Amino acid sequence: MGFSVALQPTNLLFCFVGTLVGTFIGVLPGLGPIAAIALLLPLTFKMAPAAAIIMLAGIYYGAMYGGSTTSILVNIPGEAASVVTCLDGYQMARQGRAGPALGIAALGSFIAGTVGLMGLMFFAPLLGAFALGFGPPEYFAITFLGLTLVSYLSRSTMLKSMLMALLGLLLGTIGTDPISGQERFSYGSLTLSDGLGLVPVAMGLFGIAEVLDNLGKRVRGEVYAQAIKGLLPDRQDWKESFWPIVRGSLVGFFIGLLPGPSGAMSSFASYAMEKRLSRNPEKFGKGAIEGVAGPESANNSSTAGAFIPLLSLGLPSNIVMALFIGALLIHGVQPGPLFMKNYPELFWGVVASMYVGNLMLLVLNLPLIGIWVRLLRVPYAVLYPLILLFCCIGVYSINNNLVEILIMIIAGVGGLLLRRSGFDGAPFLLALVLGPLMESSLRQALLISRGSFAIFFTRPVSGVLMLLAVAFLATALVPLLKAERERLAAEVGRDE
Amino acid sequence: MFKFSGARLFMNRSMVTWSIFVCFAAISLYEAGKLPFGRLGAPGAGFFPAALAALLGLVSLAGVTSALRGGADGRGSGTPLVWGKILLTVVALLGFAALFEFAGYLATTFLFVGFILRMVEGRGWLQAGAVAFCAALVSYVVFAWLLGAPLPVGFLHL
Repeated sequence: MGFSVALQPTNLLFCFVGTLVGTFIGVLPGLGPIAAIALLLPLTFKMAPAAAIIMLAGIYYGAMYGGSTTSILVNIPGEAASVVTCLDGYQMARQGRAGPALGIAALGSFIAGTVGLMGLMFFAPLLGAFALGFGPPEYFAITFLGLTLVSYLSRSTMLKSMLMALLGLLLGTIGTDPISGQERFSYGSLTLSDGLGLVPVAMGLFGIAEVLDNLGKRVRGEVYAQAIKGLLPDRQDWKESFWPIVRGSLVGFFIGLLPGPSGAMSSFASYAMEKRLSRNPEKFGKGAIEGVAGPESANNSSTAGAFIPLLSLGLPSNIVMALFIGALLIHGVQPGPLFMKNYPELFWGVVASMYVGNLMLLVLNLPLIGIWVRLLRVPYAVLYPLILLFCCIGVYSINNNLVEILIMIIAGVGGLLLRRSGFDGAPFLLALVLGPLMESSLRQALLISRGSFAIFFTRPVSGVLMLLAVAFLATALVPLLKAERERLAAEVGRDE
Repeated sequence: MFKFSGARLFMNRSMVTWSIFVCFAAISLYEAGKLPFGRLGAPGAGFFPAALAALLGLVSLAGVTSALRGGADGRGSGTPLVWGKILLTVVALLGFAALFEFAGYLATTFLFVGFILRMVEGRGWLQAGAVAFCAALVSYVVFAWLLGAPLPVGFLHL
């Protein structure tokens, strides 16, 4: 069923466009898959749901691969998941082995993407069937655990991440109350009565803020691409890369299931694991092909893993998945446990398109390396006005509403100030998306239990999830409190 | 207990940031108080925002305390910001929003890209004009013709 949908000419075309645009975006430093999907989201309004999701998925995994090209050739990661590829990929390029580095990144990504998809096909229906019995307490517990994990795994401190998550939840209450229908914090604005739009805020936080942050920075390095030859890895390269690709695929898939920046986390985890398992760890950082094969496989496999909570529970595990929820809702499709039952063609069509897309990426990337390299030579001063322009058009075309451009600008400036103060935007945006579900689940659960919070701990699934969340909070906060107590005790001792 | 000078207190950027969040939490709590709170067994529209504002206040106060004591900040590092360029770019974005429906897509896009290249990046008039013209034309073809995005024509009907 899936391939009959994925191989329709229109869907094939949009799959191709998605992987091409995704790779293009991934190659450009300063514009990641979040901004790309947010930008193109309004343009999918007129498409059929399957074509829209297939194209957006193509952008996501295309960007994951595209980021590795800049890491290897310029030592500048196209997006966060490719940071670790710089370590050995760039060294390989300096040693004249840019070809095998790019080749193993493409082939490893293809193999890992395929492994991840098999996992998606197996686990998503299982989890979806299990989630059919979930009620408001379980949904509250899942969202609570998700936000706790995102804060725990965020790149800023736990206190700052918690603050950002709370801020996102609070701003998520703007608009009409989902239960009573009462207006909240909209102050007579029609735009705000619909709530803060996800796309303007995402574009501001991750598109505009990134550009403003890069103004005045040198965002180009020396391109090591004078003579890229031998793209296909030789027998020795394969021997050294085989197990890193296998391990990276598995690690990436399971990390993809977790809330948070799974692409970056999985590539770092894979790199650390390969270095630890290697007989020659001293080679890492000096051009070891394992240091490219493992992380590149892991970050591509994580994209398939990240789709599982989205398609089976209706919950986004990262910002890109939150945008996918937006895309599905725009087309009247409700993601969740009933998704596979109600929309089997869409589910299997998207899964099958990912196989096709992975193959397209392989065919697309190896011969087109030269074009991507030329793109890297376009001055950033010319590129960024166009990025800003696309952000403005993308946001405007959602509702033809200028207020949303203003919201985007405010989010951009705010995002710049926050990131410069060490606050991470990811917990904020995920909380903004999860907020309405969290609130309605909490209030419905309290109605059911007549005001008793015990309902979250007495039901087995929600109890386990809540205990996990509390454990994560405790592991993050207890050492802080302990250190603070010791510091105070030392201060008192000094005063005496 | 806290040993630092008044000047250092005011220069502690981290503390200022956390204090802003304390104020924001207080205002949010006040605004949420205007909504019906309900009770635990039947929470109203103000229940969730009020609880969140209170939690936000607590976390912000913890941040202020931590900043006062010079605790680990985890501040984002990076090269210094170029405020002149940032300000001009934000002005260009605001100008885009102000002119977009009035002057239409083609004229606004030309002015926007041209302004950034000339005023922010200091490119020559000719280069800025040529790039802006191409950007306006190509993006119009892509968005309006190929993707069918509804773009305003403005008083120039372009």
